[in-house]
Amino acid sequence: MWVVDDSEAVRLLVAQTFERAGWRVETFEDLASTHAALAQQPAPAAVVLDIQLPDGCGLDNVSVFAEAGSAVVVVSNLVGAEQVERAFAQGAVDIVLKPVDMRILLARVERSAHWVRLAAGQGAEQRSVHAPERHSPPALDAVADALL
Amino acid sequence: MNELKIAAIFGLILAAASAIAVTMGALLLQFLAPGDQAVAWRSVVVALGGVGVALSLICLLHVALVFAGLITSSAETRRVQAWLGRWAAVAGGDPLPVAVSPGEQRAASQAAALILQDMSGEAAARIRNAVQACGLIAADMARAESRRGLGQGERVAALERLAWLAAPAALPLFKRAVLSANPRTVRAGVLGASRTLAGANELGETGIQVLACLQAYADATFTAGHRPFLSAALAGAGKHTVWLCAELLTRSLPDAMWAAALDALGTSHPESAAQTVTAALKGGLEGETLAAALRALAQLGTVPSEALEAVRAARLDRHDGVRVQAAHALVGAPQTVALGDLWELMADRTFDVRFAAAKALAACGAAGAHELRRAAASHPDPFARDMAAMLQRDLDGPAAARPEDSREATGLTALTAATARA
Repeated sequence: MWVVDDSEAVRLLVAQTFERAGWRVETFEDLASTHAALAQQPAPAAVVLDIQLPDGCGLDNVSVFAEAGSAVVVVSNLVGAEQVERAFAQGAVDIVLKPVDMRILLARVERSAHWVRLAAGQGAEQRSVHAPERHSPPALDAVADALL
Repeated sequence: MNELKIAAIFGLILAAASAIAVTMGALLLQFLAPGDQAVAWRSVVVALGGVGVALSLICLLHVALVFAGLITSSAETRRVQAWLGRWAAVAGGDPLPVAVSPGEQRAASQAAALILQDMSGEAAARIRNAVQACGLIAADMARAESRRGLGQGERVAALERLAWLAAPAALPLFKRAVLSANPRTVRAGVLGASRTLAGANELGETGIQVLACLQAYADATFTAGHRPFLSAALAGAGKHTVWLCAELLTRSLPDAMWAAALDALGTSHPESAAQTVTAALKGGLEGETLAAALRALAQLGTVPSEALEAVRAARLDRHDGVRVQAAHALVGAPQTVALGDLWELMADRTFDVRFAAAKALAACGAAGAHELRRAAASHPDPFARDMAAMLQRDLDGPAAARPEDSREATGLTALTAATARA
C-alpha cells in the first residue's frame, strides 16, 4: 500500500501500523513522487491519500489511483460535504477524518482493499505481488466488522 | 533568531554608524581647514577602509549567527525526527521510553505533539501516558511558566506543545494564557482547553474549567476575527464538541463567538448537532449568527422538522448572506418544500442568492435537476432563467458546450464546427 501525506508523523504512524499488520508500505510526501512511482511500478492494493498536499489537491488524483485498481481511502481534516461528494465521485472507497484512530484506519483500508479486489473479480487467492500479506485476515475482518 | 541577537546586531550597526559619522565629520573639518589636502585625502582613504572592515565584520557576525541558527535548527529537526519514530513505535505497542535526557526533552515533546495532531484512539492515549510518565508535561509546564532564561517564543512553543498534548494538568496555564496580550499565547490557551476536554472521558470538573476558560477568553481577548480559529478549536473538543457548543450558545457571548460555535456544530455529529442548532434557531437568531446556524444545517445536510419554519423564514431575510445560507440549508429540507422555495429564490434580487438557489436545486437529486432544467426553460423571471441556464451548462460540462459533440446539433452549428476545424 502507499501512503501519500505531507506530514512525516502521519507517514510514520501509518507505515508502522500497517507494516505490523503485514502490509508492505511505501510512503510519499507529494503527488509528483507518487505519479513517478506509478509510472514505474504496478498500482498498489490500497492508497491512503491526504487531500492537502504541497503540489496539489489529493482529491484531483483519486481517479488516477482508482482507475489503476487501487482502493483509495482519503484521510484528511478538511473534509466537508463537498469534499466527500468529490472524493466518492472520483472513485474513493472510504474517507477517514483526522485525527485518525490507527486501528480504525487499518480496518477500513483492509475492508476497502477487499471490496476493490472483489469488484475487480479477483479471488482472495489470486492476490497480486503488491497486495498485503496479512497475518490474520479473519481477526482483522472481525475488527472491521466491529468498528464499522 | 531571538530578540537579544537582533538587538546585538543592531547595536553593532549603530556603533559602526556612529564611528563613521564622527570620522566623516572630522574629515570634513580637515578639508575646510587651511593646509595640505593630500593629508586629508589619505585620511579619507583610511577612514573608508575602516568603514569597509567594520561592515565586513558585522556581516560576518550576522552570517555566523544565521549559520549557527541553521545548524541548531537542523540538529533539533533530526532529534524530532528520531523521536517521531520512537513515539510511532510506542503507538504500535512498543514499551515506553524509560527516561528522556534534559537535552532531548523539547524534541521528544515536539514529536509527541506532532503525532497527536493527527492521531486519536488507544494509540494516542498510550503516547499521552508515555509523555506524562517521562516527565515531559512537567518540563513543558516549567518552560511555559519560566520567567528567566527563556524568550517569549520558547515559552509560547512550550504552551503550544502542551495544547497538542492535551495535558489536563496544564488547564490553569491555558486559562491564564487566554488573557494574554500575545495572540499566539491566546490561541494556544484556547486550543489547549478544547483539546483537554476532548481527552476527558467524563465532562465533570474539566468541562466546568474549560467553559470558564472560554468565558474568560470571550470577556478579555476574543474579537470577531478569531471566529475561524475558534470554530476549529471547538471542533477539536471531539466527542464533547456538541456539549461545549450547546453550553456556549446558552451564554451571553459576542455574536461572532456564537457563530463560531454554530460553525463547529456544522462539522460535528449530525443528529445531536442538528438538535443544538435547531434550539439556537428557535431562540431567535439574526444576522451573522442566523447565517452561521443555516450554514451549519447545510453542512450537516439535514433540517429537523422543528427548524423548518425558521429556515423557510430566513429565505425572506433582509441580509443577502442569510438568504444564501437559507438556500443551501433547504437542500436538507423535505423536497416538497425545498423545490418550491428554491424556485422562488431563483428570482431573488441578488445574484449570489440566485446562484446559491440554483446550486441548491442541482444538489436536490433528480427532482432538483429537473426543476433546474424547467427553470432554464420557463421560469417567469428572466434572471432566474439566465442563472439556471448558466448552471445547467456548467453541470453538463464542456462536452455539452461543443456543438460538434451534440446529437442535436443543427446543420448550421455542424457547418460552423466543420469550418472551425478546417
